Amino acid sequence: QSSKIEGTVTDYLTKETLPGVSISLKGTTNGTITNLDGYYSLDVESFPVTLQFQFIGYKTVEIEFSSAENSADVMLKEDVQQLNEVVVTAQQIEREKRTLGYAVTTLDKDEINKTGETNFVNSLSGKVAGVQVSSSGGGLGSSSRIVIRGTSSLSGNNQPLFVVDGVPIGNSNISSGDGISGAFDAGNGAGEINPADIESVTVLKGASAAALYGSRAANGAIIITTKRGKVGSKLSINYSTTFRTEEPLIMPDFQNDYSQGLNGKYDNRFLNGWGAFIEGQEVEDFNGNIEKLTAYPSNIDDFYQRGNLFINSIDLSSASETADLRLGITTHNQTGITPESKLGRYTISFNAGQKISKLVSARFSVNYVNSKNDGIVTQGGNSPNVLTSLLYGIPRNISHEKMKLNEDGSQNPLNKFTNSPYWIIEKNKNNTKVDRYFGFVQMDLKPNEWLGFTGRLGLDHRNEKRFRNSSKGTIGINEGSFEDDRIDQKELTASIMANVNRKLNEDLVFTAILGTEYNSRVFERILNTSEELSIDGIYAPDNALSNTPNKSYSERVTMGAYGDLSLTYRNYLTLNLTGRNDWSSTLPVDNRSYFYPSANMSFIFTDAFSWSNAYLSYGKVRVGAAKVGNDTAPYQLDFRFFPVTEIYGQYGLDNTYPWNGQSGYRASNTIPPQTLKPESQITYEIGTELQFFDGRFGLDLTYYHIRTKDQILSLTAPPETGYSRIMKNVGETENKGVELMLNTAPLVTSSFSWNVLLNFSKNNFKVVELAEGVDKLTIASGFGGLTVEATPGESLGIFGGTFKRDPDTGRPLVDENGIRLEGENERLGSINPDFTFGMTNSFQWKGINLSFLIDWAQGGLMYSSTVSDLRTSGLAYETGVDRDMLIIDSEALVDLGDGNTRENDIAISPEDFWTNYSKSTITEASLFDKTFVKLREIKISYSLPEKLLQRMPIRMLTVGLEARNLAILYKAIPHIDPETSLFQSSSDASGAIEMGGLPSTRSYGFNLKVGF
Amino acid sequence: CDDALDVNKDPLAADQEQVSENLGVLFSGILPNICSNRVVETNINTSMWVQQIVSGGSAEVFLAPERYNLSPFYLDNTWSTFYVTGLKNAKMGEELALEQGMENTAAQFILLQAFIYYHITYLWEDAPFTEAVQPNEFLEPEYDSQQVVLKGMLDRIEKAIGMINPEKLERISDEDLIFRGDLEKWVKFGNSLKLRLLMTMADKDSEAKAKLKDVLRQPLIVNYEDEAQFDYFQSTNNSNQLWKLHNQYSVDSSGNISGSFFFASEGIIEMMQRLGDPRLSVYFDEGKDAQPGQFVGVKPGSTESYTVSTVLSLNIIRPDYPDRWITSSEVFFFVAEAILKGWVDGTVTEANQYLRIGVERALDWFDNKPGSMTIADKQQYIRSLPDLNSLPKDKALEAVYTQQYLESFLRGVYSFVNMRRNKFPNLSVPEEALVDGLICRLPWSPDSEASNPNVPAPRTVDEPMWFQK
Repeated sequence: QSSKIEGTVTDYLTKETLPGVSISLKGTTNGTITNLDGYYSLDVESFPVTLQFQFIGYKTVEIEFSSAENSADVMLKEDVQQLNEVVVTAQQIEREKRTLGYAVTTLDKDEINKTGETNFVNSLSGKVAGVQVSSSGGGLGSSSRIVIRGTSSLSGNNQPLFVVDGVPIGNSNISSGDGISGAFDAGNGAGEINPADIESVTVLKGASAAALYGSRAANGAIIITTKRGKVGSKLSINYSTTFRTEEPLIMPDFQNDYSQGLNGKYDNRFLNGWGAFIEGQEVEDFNGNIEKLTAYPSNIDDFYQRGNLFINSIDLSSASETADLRLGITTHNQTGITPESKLGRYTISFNAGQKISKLVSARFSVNYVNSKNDGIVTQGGNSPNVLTSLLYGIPRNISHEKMKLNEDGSQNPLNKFTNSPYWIIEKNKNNTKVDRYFGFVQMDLKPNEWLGFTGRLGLDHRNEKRFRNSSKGTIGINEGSFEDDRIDQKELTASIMANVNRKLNEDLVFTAILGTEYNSRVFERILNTSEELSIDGIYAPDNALSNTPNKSYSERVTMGAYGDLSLTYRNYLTLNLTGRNDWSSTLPVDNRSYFYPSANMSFIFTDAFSWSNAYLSYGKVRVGAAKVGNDTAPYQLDFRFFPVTEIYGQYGLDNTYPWNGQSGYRASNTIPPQTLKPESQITYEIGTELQFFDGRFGLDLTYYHIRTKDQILSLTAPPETGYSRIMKNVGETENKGVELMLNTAPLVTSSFSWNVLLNFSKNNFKVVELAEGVDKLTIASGFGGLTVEATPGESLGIFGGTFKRDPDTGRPLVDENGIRLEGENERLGSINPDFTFGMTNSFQWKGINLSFLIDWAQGGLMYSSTVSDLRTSGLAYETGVDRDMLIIDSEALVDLGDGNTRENDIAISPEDFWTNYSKSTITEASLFDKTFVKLREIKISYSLPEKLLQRMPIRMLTVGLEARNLAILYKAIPHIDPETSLFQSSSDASGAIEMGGLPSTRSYGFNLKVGF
Repeated sequence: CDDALDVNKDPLAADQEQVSENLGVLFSGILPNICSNRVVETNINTSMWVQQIVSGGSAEVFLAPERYNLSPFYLDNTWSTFYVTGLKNAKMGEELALEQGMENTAAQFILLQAFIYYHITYLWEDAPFTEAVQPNEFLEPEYDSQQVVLKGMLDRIEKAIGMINPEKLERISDEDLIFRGDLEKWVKFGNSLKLRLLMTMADKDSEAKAKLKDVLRQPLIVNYEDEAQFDYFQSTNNSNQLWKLHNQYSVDSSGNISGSFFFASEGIIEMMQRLGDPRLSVYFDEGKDAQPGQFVGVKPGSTESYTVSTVLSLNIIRPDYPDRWITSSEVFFFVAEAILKGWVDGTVTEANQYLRIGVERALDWFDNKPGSMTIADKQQYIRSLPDLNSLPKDKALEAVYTQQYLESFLRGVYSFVNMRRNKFPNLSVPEEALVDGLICRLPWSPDSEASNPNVPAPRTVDEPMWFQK
């Protein structure tokens, strides 16, 4: 008589049921496998019996059953010793992670798409050690900067290469205007990648990992693999919908007691808060009406609105043994926190592969992105359309209602120089439209078991139309103007690759790759500026009295040939050598060919010495060294004469050519290099991966050292030479750092698990030397003498105005009126963070999943012009405290002018104190530590159990609540989010200077996923 | 493979050969930029330093330079406008012209360089001249003394004048935005510029007086048609940036300029009222809340301007107000001055005559322009001028200086040279000025200080220049 043994097999850590586990009766050929729910049942003739549970990647378990009664649920532990995790490396080559001699981190689709992001780059924030993501503010579609292992090149090119399915794609951030004269942030190229189409992202952190991509991967590479149809599904359909709502994360703290004016008297000409105490007295407002003076504490909050975000994704896929295809469609509709801003992005992704014969297979992939972003705000300075600094200067006694436009659409300007914010938002627009195609065709030939050939042709074609206008009647642009801006970027990559993978004998496996690559990048832009409109609202160039077209064009070609050899001994020791030669069109003919090698080794000592035990289950060490060269921008070598468009006029008063019917030319302002050789970067890294307690605790530690020399830099030349820059191979920088990733499961029970993933990175950047006689290289300039500079021996630093200090005590000095004296322009500290830390906690209980990510960046300085403005204008909360009391600046000493000082006893008004203390030329006073700890992501989801689903026509259903940037848990800077920036993501000074940035946002909502 | 990589030639830029075919485009590439710096930066600053106009605290960006507090951006912009935009391209034009034997074209470029050096040396005194703009030999040019610069300029001007041959057709014509290729006018320009230089050198340099006598025998700018000026136009993008400044930042809701950033100084109002100068209401408008004919000046360096304070006139703030480089009036005043000082031959009666011609030209220039004066007003004013014969020498000179000062309104750099040269008018240091003395010079360009070890030690802005001593 037979009895039945039954139960469910689950993962020891995740508690997920494991379908497909094979269960065999030891010593027989009888057996079964678990079903989709992990359930098994086996008829047994006699007892006792021993069942063997086997599953790939898990330790085999044997259980003896003495009777049918002790049927059992079984938990399998992952076999970390056999960890065969496969990662996608350079050139889309899949490798077992254990054989890699360098640090690599892979994020899967769930991690990338945990809380849908408008900018894909943001979804990497806080998740990978060594990767620093900085977003530039809360505008829709705004750019984000990503830097791996710190800035190394002083030439400004420090972002990694983005590669989708083996094809490099553009991540440029082309500015429209600059921060100083008012710009809008049109986003960065990689931000347009649709997270819903991503299967996995591998971050190749350094030259060792990325050597095969050539010079462009000197800053690392982000390797994105898109989803494909998976074998085993006839047709699967997934639908996901997300709704989130968005609001400003942080607003300045305003005082709400004092009106506009000066010296405690109301005056409607001044946009500030140094006026009268607000107590309902009758005054004339800026419209000329008599009203009772009232404070409107929420006037700025009321100007902002709630933004909404809808993401809908549908995904159809199907695959057989010989063919697969996937079609993904995503719509992304969003309204922003400023009125009139909205983003619509539509993405179609199609990927199909076919095994044509035993020998030949082919694949085709195309992604189309259509994006329309309307009402992007102008940021920075000097433009009448800059929004945020205008908003934060609005007196407390003006309600947002009052600033609204008149019924006939005209505005009541706040004063002679200042437009109403509603005018700027409703009448003056910045819009972009993007059409982008990227994808590839690929052919694979597999003549035999160990040899393969791949040919791939990839294309990224991005077309962007930008439009910005200022209506007639805009103060500062009274006659109206508009710009039509067409940007076309094309990147073509063709490659052929041969792949050998051969077992030489029982102990040795040999793999080799040989390949060539052709890459061409063409950039074309035509920008027409039309000014003085005859009829308002007609944005045709013919309607303008003045049109100034401007064209730019650049083309560059790189060719590469590369090889990658690796030898693995007994699956625990791997030696890998790579070499690549590049030929770049941008370098002088004699120096345009350059070769760079890399070598790395991986050694799994626990396997080699059979050290694996209950405590240490897996141990690997890796070492690597790599050299990468780098070229320069196109057209840097010839002496050129350019047709001139713009005639610079201070205060934004530019004129343009033609001048009375004549064009003009000017010679290049850069002394072209006599000879130029490629930049070179040498990286060493050493690391270890350890797993303890059966994988309950894992650690991945890396130390690296990067030296970048012969940098191609454009240095300041003495203008009296007739040139402002000279281009040379000079300068050397160094990055040393550690990266640590820890994963641990502090608490795991049969129904509950808690997993923690930590990453920590610390990068020390240092400029080793600049050119001979050059002690400073300006990376960026702000206002009031503020700059970000590279200086030998130090990290990138903020330089700016200081208070004059007593040399003996270091205390600031005031003059005989009690006003602080200005000192010299000095280095005030580093802009680079001391370290960054990310922590993801996830909890699982039955079908419920909770995870949250805390993102912490420690240290580094930033200058906030918003704080400076809020304080000098008397609008910041702190300027309203004790307004009627005089202030004695007790930190200061009085400078008696004869070299002597005395304790400061001079009382001054808060107005005198703050207008002098926080003024723009004193960088020091508005400089803050930009440390922050943020609750970056939270997600709670619930998946319907299989049992319930079986009765429904659906395969899976998950509902969830999600939030991004829910709270700033700690920050040192007042009034603003330290993650806002004047400079866009393309600048190395990004994050160091803040000015009039849109506040960052917090968003929360829900998500539903259904699969059929 | 090599062919595919040969894509590194910029299709949107010209090479030397292409530019040589039309060197005029380098000429037109320089002029608007030099004038842009003049009209909205340097002339404003220097006009505030000679205290014709004052900011009254209307904007920090004007109050700071009025008090001699100069932003590094201004210094760098100006220095590099002159050397990088101006001198480099002009020198390149000169060299490429000479390579092709085009001496007239080369001379035009040389005279333009001399005009640019005029600004450099009278704003900074010592400056790179012999080693400037030759990056292949001198990456860190030495600074020459003002005397060396001035002498070098004289040589260059003489050389250029010697090269000019109006018989030859070759020249820059359409792109010559000053004289449209009229070479005779360039000769007069060169001589008149020489006259300016020599007036500052006559007492300091032994050869200067002889040269001064000689230059007065050469063709000079004596008619309106000969005057050197850079024209601006009504169209927004070819317009005077002083107007643009007001049109962008000081308009009322109907789009009209509603007030100026600049006010009349107390001193100039006092002077013009005392003389009954009809240009008072040409240069200035009454404040919004002032009575008709009520002119109220503002103290230099102060922030005490009111709605009654007298503002810069819309006769001057207009899109097509030209940038006047060298006027015929100034030449007549120079001759009168040189006679009175005994530097050249001539009688006081002649000087008296030249003074009157100069004033007449200064007044008549406004004919058919906004601010034109009636014939009666003009005649009355000229009649009221003192007879130099009846005055002691210092008073006679003062009468000439007065007219130089009033004629040079908003021609700041030129006026600033005269003010320092003649120590007239007798000005007081603006309120809250950075230094105790009157400003005499600009600090070095920070860009230059940061990149050229040969920059001389800093000097305070009130240290006089060689020509003042």
